[in-house]
Amino acid sequence: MKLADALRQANQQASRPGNALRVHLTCGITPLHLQTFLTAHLANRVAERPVTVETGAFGDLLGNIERARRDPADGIAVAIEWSDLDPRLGFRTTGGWAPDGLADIVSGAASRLNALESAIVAVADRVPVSVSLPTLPLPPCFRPPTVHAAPHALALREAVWAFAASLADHPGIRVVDPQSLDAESPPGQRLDLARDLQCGFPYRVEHANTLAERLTALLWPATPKKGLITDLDNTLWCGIAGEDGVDALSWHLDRGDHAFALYQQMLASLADLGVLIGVASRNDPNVVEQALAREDLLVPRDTFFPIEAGWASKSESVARILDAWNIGPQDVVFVDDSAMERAEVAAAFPNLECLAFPSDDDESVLALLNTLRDRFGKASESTEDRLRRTSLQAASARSAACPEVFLAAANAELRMSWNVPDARCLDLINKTNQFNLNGRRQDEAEWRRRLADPSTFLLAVSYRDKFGPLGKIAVVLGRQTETGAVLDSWVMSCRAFARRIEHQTLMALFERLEADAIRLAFEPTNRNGPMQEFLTAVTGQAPTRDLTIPRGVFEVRCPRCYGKVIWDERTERAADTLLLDRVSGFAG
Amino acid sequence: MFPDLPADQIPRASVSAVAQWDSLATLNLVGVLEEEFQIRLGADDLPSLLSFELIRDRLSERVYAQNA
Repeated sequence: MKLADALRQANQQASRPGNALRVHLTCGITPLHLQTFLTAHLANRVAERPVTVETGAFGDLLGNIERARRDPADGIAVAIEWSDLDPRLGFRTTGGWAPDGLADIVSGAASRLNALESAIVAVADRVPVSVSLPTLPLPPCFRPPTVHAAPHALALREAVWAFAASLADHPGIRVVDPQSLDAESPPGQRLDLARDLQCGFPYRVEHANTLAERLTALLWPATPKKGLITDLDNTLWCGIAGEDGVDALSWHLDRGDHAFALYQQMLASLADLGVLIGVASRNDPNVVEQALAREDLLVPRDTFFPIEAGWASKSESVARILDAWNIGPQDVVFVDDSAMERAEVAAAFPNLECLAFPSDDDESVLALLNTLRDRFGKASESTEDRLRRTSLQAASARSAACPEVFLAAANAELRMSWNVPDARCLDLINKTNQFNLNGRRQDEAEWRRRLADPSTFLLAVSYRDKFGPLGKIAVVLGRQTETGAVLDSWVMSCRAFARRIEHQTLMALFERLEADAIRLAFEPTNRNGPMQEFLTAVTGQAPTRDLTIPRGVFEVRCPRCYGKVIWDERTERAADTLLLDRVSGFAG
Repeated sequence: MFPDLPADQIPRASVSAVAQWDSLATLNLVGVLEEEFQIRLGADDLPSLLSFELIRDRLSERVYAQNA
């Protein structure tokens, strides 16, 4: 983004309606263009609200973080530079670079890092925080020539790395990755010394843009994709299975096609994180089975589900895979070496991201692997993510028996927890589209505010049956009002459809709240058809906004449910303990 | 830079005529001009950044010198 575009964007977004998204930019430098770019990038991320980026006092990073803690906003970006650890490590002061003072600089910086860590952790308990480590070059203040790594310089860097590792362990803190930043903003092209001396802003414009972009991406991460559909010939392996023969397929260092092995390794890693991996291959299905049975394949055979091998068009295969996964094309990436196949799939699914496998260019394969990590990467993995593939396979394997027979024999167990929040609850609210009361998303700050409100209640539902566990698959967020209970969010994973979990959830709410009626903040969206169908079925009429369901009506229309309901024991604990869980549970 | 400034008044814009033209606006202007014209503006250029007319003349000199 160019500075002129950022200024234009920052000006234009200010007139958006609604409550402003407030973010503190805490730094010790003059914020200048960093503030402008941060405003513009945040405005691009949160397209429906105005954005306000507030800054603090020059040269007082620690004080600025403390002030931000006392004035909670929606997020805090912390941009640290060497001069924040000791002014002598900047260029605007002349405190002396005498060799005798270097040990003092190192020990003072270590103390300052400890203080910064305490301040950042304290603020991260309330709002999400993104942190950038010092990005500018150290001044030539050390004893050896600049080509020689000085012990004091190494000690400073060691202290910063330890500080960063400690921060990164905190679930509310995300640290800008130095390697990723180096790739986009070369370290030697970041400092603008003239501007630093002139006004205290030390960044070149391009570096300010890159840094702001990363601080924004960490504060408001993109939702990870859910599934990857891969081609086989000249994508998963080198060679064409049907022509070269299964034994000739290769992904080996000594044959010069090791890049395919790296791709396989990436697929195995993504599958372990819960990413669905499907295959769309124009091939003889028997040949594909033989090839995938090779024991030296780096990605286990059962990683792939489903496998669509045949002579139909790729877009038809992709459609069947999306149907089996029950997710939309916008949540999926398709990888194929053939430009024609990618174009055919892209024409059928404009929202599906199609990526080239550059089978003859190792450097481009690395770029592809980085892209895949960016599309699917997440800071933490959940049990539910890992269970997704096996539960889909189990669902696919089920007979087409009568639903009553199937449900009665499923040995289903629904575990309900009351007011026990965790990161998975928020994740479900922000990822679920189909069984979703109104499509509303929540950022972390809003989520924490809701949990701190004593009128809020939160029901989370985990499910298992004889086919295996699905993990936590449904969440209801509501509040008690003077006129009764209101459900503001209700989501359920599409993997849990057709088990009447939604019916048992609503029944559990009626019982838990001892309510004769429950109001639902329903809004139709383009994608919440399953929710609309459910509400129509249990009320007998098409749902309207803010509908109320009387318990008597629901009980008459509710079909027989077979799942055994078990309340989580933590639910029964005292209210004050639960309040503590609201914070610690989220952190966990 | 100055979203409220009508296009026909830009040629007459100056620090004294445009209320929003403060020191921060000048620094933003420096950044935009450097980016747009691929030049570096130093401390000795700052006195030339007080009006549209002065900026235009200064940029003409710098760009001419760069291309000469």
